[in-house]
Amino acid sequence: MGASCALASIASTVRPARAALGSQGLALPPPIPRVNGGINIQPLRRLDDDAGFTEPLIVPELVDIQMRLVYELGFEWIRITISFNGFGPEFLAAIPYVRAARALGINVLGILSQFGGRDLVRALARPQTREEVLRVYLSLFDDFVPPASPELERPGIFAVQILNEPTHFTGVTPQTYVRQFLAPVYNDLKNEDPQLIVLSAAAVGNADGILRTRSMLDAGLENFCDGVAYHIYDRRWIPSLAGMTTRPVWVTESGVTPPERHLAWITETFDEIRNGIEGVEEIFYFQLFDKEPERFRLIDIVAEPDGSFLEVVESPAAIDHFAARVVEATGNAPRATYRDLIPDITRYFPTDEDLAVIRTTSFGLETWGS
Amino acid sequence: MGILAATAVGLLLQTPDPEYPLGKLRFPSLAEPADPVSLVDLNYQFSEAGSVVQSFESRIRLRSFAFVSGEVRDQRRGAFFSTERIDVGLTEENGRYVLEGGYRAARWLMRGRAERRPRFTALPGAASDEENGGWVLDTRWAFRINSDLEILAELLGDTESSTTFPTRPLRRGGLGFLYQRGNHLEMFTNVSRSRIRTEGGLEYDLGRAEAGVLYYRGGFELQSVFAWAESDGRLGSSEGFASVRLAAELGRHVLATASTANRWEPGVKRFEQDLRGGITLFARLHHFFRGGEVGPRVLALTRRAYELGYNERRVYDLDGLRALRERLSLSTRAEELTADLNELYRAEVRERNVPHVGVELAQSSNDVVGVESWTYRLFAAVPWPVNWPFFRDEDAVDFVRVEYLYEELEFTANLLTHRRELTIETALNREITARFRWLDPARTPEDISLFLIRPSRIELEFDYAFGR
Repeated sequence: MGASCALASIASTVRPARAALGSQGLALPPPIPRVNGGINIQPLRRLDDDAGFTEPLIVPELVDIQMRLVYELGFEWIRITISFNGFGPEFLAAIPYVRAARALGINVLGILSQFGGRDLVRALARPQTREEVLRVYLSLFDDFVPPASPELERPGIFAVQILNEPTHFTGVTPQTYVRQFLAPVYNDLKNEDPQLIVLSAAAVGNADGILRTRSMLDAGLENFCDGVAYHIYDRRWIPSLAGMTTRPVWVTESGVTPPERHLAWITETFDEIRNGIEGVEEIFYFQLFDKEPERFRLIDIVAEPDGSFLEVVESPAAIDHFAARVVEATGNAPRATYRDLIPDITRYFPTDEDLAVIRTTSFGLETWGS
Repeated sequence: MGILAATAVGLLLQTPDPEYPLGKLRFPSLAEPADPVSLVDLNYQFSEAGSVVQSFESRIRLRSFAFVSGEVRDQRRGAFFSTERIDVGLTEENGRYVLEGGYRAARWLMRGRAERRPRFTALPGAASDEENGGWVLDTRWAFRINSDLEILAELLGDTESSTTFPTRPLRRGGLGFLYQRGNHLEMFTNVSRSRIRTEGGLEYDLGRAEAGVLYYRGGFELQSVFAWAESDGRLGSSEGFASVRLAAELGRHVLATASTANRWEPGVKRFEQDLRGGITLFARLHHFFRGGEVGPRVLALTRRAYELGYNERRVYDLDGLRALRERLSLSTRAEELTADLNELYRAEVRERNVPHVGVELAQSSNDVVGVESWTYRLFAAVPWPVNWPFFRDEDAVDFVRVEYLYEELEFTANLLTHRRELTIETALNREITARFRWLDPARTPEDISLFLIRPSRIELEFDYAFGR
């Protein structure tokens, strides 16, 4: 079955529902069930790089494309970088993704991280600025989000991962990461919200990562997290990671290149990971979209001449697989469409209240003005 | 016998000594007792890097009985006492006490170190809120089978096993041997087993085996160490370490060196590597202390000491040789060794190397930290008496030496940084040196993240060492 066929299958399940409801004004059918684990998504706000604070800050259609696919393909979790950057545009761009996902009943693992630069680690290194940063993150992302459908028992939960591949991206040693960043941030977060799931950072997913993971565990990483994260891009390291921890394991990134190998990785290697490493609770595929063709991404997003945007499937077999699992779970029962649940994505965009919270901090004042 | 020895000493005392910037140096006969005390070491260091740190150390000899010394190094204070067979020392630094000492019998030797860790408050969420420092007792033993062979043993214990920080051995036991054949071959092995406690509170057993060999043959020296470690538990791993160092004379005035050191985990990768090579031109003939005159005299002296009931290992570096001479000069049978001691010292003076110009290039990497570095070291020296560059003079001695080091570090976290060092050292004679150093440390990504500032540092040092 081709990708278009798979997506058509989901559409055939949801389209009659939308049509029928539109004419009869009945209650929404249940949402598509979450059957496909986790996926990494980018907080994409513009297709052009280095857009800065120019308008539009966030293109609604770009958020819609990724969130619709996450919903229609039945993912249970998304993992998204909430890039600090002094509470700049990339930080704001994560807001609609996190809120819309949670409204759709999709759980969110938000990474306290930053695309480039060391502003975040420097802010986390000092108690006063750490408190400010964490307060904003929790206030904007961990607050209650109303479910998009009464059929949803609860919104998706919000969990936090403290930095991403810290030695690789920020240069702090594994021991320093545990002592100076993970321990204090974990304690502060738990003081604010004891129910919050807090994950450690994973080390880079290669041989260096095996050595760094061991160093982090040696330094007491397990004492400061609810789950230990690994990144797996090579089957060779599965036995090395097996049994390293007694805590729950979250594989927060796992993927392979080129696209022809995606399906086998998702079906076979994910099973190998679950069977090979004790305590694996979640696996996040890396990733739905990025700007590197023919590598990890499942789709590309292209701009049309009329200003609209279109997703182009790059990994049809993997998309088919996820879609087929959704169809298998739903049968022929009607399901609410993405548009039924999220008629207007901008309702999840940053609000004046959000900006007011940011303005109370010592960050972003120059950018945001008074 | 005594008359012969005295005659020999007299002859040696009259042998011409090299000319130094401060003139000729009297020949220090270590066998002569101090009356009642004499200064043998004086060291002063000054360091400025935002704040000033000063260190002072002095050591005196009490007749032919003992050496007594004291030191104040920034926050560390210490006092030491040593005779030919016994030495003890106590240091304190910010509540951390270290008591160390040893006893040197004819057939065995023991050195012990007891360290009292200060109390400290652990990280929130650690195994316990407050840690009792406890004591670490570390003892090393050597049992001499003959003048060439020693059986080595080590025992370590930590009295406060619940303390989590830092990662350290709670217990360790080891056994090995050291074999010194003539001056040209040394072999050692050591096998140990440790119980490790990590700062995260995990405990595991670590087994380690190590073997090394050093081979010297006229103008060529090879040193190699191989070690293998295996740990159990859920963080269990295997790790190998191997190093090889070659030093070879190219002609009689040039020494080339090359070395490699590697650490790796089988099945994972080599994660640490150091490669370096260098070449040095000397102002006078180059000598390995294992060869020439020094080597045979070290061999003869240590064997003679062994026959007299003293336990001395062969050493071939300036500081080690000085300590050897000092210890034996305190022995009750020092008179019988006086001629050998003085001859050894005289040979050391004659064969001391006088570097003139040199360069070294090193490449290092550490994949756990995520850094790769290139180091360039260059030095030039003006020997005494001052002469034209590259002028060979068999009476030359060290005088002024300027060394510059530049290291470029590239971190995987997208940071390129560097460190620089400049050293200017003056030897007024072989016992008195003065040193100036300027150090500009590299700023690491961790420094930037943690707001750590590492200012440039200036160091000044004056050192006097009697009989060096």
